[in-house]
Amino acid sequence: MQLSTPSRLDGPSPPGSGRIDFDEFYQAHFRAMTVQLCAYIGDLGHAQDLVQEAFCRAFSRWEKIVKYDDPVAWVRKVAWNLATSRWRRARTAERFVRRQREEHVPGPSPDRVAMETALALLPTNHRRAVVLHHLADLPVSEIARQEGVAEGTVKSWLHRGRTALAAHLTEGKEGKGHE
Amino acid sequence: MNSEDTFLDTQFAAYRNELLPDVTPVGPDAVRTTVRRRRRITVTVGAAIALALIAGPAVGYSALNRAPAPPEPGTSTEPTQGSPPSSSPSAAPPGSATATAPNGRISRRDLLAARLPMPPWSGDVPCYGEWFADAKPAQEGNWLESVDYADVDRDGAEDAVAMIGCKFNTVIQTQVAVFKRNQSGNIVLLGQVLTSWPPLGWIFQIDAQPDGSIRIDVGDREPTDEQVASVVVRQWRTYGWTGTRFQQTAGPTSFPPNPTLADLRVTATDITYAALADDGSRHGTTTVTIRNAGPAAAQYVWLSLELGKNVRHEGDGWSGCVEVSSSPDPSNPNLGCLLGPMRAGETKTLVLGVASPGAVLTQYSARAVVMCLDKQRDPVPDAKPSDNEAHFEQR
Repeated sequence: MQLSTPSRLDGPSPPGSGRIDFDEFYQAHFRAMTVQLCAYIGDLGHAQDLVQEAFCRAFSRWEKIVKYDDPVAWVRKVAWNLATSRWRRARTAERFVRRQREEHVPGPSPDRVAMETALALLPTNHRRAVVLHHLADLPVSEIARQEGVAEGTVKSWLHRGRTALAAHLTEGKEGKGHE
Repeated sequence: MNSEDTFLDTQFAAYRNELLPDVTPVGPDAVRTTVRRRRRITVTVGAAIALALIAGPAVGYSALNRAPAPPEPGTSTEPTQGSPPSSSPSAAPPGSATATAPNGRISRRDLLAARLPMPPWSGDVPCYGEWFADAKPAQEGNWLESVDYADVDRDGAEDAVAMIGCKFNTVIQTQVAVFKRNQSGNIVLLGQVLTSWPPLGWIFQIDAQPDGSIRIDVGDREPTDEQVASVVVRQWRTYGWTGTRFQQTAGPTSFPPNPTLADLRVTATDITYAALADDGSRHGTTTVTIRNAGPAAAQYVWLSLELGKNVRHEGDGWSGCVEVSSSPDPSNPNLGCLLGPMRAGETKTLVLGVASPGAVLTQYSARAVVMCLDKQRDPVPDAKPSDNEAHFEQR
């Protein structure tokens, strides 16, 4: 039986312990990580759910993860893996139904819609690379590590993704200008 | 940095600035609450496993799901439809094998340590490898849920009946397999009994019998927090070794119709898009047929079509929908049609027009999914979930 000792379920880390406090870690990274994932999947509520789940998994093994060189990378990878899980997609229909009945909030700006629409037109790999580079500020080497591919592959994805994204956004703005 | 990069950085900065205030973190306290609840469940399972190791019969899931006490063999709630209980499992063991068969009462520790050939999982299950963990993994992987013992192949030595799970994120599949020792003393797979693959929805527990048969507590669906336990139909089914494979020998072979549930079924025809039109899109139709096979009526039926990025709905065919919607989620593009009530036996046929922007489709395989909703438009279980989706092509 593998029942590890709960990691500070009821409070922050002891003062002066020299470790990253989970609460601070969460507060420092939740929003940015959610924005990045939202840009990738185009759904803010879903992105929040996935990032929250990733933080839950991080908390379960916080004693280990906090010792990593980059705990943020671990959480981000989990969240992105969750987003791309084919198994998780099986539950999308149910979530979609529920979302239809959620209260409507003021809609996003045309620029945000344009960005999400343009991103959605990119192939998945290109979109991931572009979002991670421009929103998560990750260098090529780190994207390559996260994706498990060569740096040259990431450079290619980035080049093609950026070119296509810029074209889509420009076309959109020009199209609006002609209306 | 070139001008393209600068342009995109500006666009992304604006995107980030707009979105950040809209993000509402649930908070680290909610993380603690979730993890605490999951640990309680894990501890319950762990305690059940410990009890199983002490008591003998495997009761792991039984404890977790507050299952009723196993009925005695032959007292299943439904008449047996399959072959009568086979006499072969209780037949005298082959005399030649009994004297030399190695002890197959393989300890849990030995099972965990052995690199065993994993019997195949059913369907699109991303678990593989020759190893399973001691406890259900937090994220993904195989684990050994419980072990029970009986002389399944009647060679005079006990065999290990293992209930093994595969977890991937929130989805779980379980299977029952039997391991034994070969003449060299190595642990080998005797055979796979069954997996929790439709029409089975769940395996709750195993109970190996002294006569070598294996009784398995199965359910027609996965028990979840969102549905009452009584929705799950549970049965004990008995399996025996034929000499080459496992075969059901007693117990119900199918689940009875649940009178409170509707059985929705869907089919959809392939979409052949026309050539690129002047509006920059290609247009096509699919004929979707939805049938409620009963026995209960559906208050609402929700149809989802996964056709690809930016495919939109068009035409009068959608006028039969109470609501039409499209998902902005580019990782799983949907068109949605909410239909009104469908009584048992009713069939609806929809000829749905769609338009795909550009000359090139973003995907060729498509999927239609139907789901039953109650009056509050909350999802309710389907009597037979396996026919709630249809795969079709688009070209």
